[in-house]
Amino acid sequence: MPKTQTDFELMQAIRRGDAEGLRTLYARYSGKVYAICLRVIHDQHEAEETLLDVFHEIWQRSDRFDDTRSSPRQYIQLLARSRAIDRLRESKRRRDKVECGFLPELAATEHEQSSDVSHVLGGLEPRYQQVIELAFFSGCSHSQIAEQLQIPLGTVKTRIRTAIATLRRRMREGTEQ
Amino acid sequence: MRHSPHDASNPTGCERRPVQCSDVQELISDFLLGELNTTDEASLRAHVDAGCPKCAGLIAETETVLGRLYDVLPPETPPPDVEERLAARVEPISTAVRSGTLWTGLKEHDWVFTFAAICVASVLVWLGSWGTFSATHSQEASRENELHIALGKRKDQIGSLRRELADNAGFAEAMRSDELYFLTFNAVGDGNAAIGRSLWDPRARRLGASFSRLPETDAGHALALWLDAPEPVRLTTFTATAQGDASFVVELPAELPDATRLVVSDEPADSRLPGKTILAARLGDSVRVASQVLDHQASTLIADKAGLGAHNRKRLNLKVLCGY
Repeated sequence: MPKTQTDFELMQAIRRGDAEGLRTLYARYSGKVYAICLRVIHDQHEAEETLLDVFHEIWQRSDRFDDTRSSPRQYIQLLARSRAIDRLRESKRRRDKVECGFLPELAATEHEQSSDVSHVLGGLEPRYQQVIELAFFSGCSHSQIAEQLQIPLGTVKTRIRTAIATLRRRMREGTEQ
Repeated sequence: MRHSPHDASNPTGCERRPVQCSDVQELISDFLLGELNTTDEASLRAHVDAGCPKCAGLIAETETVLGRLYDVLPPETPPPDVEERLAARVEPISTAVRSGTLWTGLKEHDWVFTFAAICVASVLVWLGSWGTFSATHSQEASRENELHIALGKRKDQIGSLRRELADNAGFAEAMRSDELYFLTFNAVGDGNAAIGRSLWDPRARRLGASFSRLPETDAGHALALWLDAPEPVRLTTFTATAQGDASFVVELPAELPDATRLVVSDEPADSRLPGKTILAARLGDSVRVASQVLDHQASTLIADKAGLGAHNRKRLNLKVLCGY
């Protein structure tokens, strides 16, 4: 029986130009990438376009993935976030809008998802949870967070750094236990 | 806080110093969140690329932390047309295979387009393997000759396979079909040597295969041909001669799964033990075998894709390229 390929094997296949490797990777991660795009952009059409762009970039720029630095899953998820934010900002430039944050029509699912996010961020003080949620799940730039929360830009950066350092320390402790 | 010389937050415009490990601690989250200005990002990358294992480890660790934030998001099912559009961007042949047009003998419409796509892909692969396609006539003429040599070998290969299958496996009826597709089986690992060939007829739902130099199997083991799909379909089980040769024809099932490859596995006598995939042929690499001539539109498409000028469009004999 043919065996299931690992994520690393699929990335190697893509690097060799194997389109089936990309297809398998898409089957494995398109749902997660689409969820991230929806969460950041809040627009189904734009999220679909970003999903397409993410996997096309994985195909075209497969040499960018460094398997000594991160896993394919982490790489894909962060690439999705980055491209979703790029598209969101481009879209906002076109529409001359600057706001970020959750849209009302998504409020029900946001609440559900926020519960999951809060679980992961549990233990962080609310002010740190707030900036991480806005930076990661709402596509806000640091300056937009500052504007939305009415706090100085420097404070936003400090809170994000502190939150990430705390999560990093917690993960390290969890690994050591 | 460090300042870039051109950074608006650096009103003094003083010379910047190279990024140091202590700076990375400060910049890492901005870097991973895409909030660094390009100058600082380049400096940080230069510091890590210069070989600072400590900072590289810190970045990797932070990427893991950030990646985990998304693990909690439940996946959402994207519309199916996104995958189709991705396939169209990546590999036209794969789209045809996945949409079932190859499986069903291109019954719906416009086989010329699919055939053209196969030829375009083939031309581009060949051109790509030779490096940039030069605009000079002499270089193109040389490449044209190489194309013809490569196609001649392919034609000889297909001709001998047809004869072999007709003689050994009773594939004569399918030999007259103009809906045949040719595939090559390559060894998995071990240099990817080509040691098997296949002709299959999607309209008649028959597949002929011929192998030589198959690896020796253990006593009691058998070889199996599979459609590699989410639920693999075993097409047949066969054995090879002492010289490692095998030829056969199999009927394809009426309902074909969305397969991506044909694979041959070495199956142990005990069916509870897993087999080992030893050969694979990608369905997306199928080449149509037919005496067809491309129409003007398809020829133009290929010439455009290959970036040929007016003079070399005439020189490049597309009928020879694609009309087996």
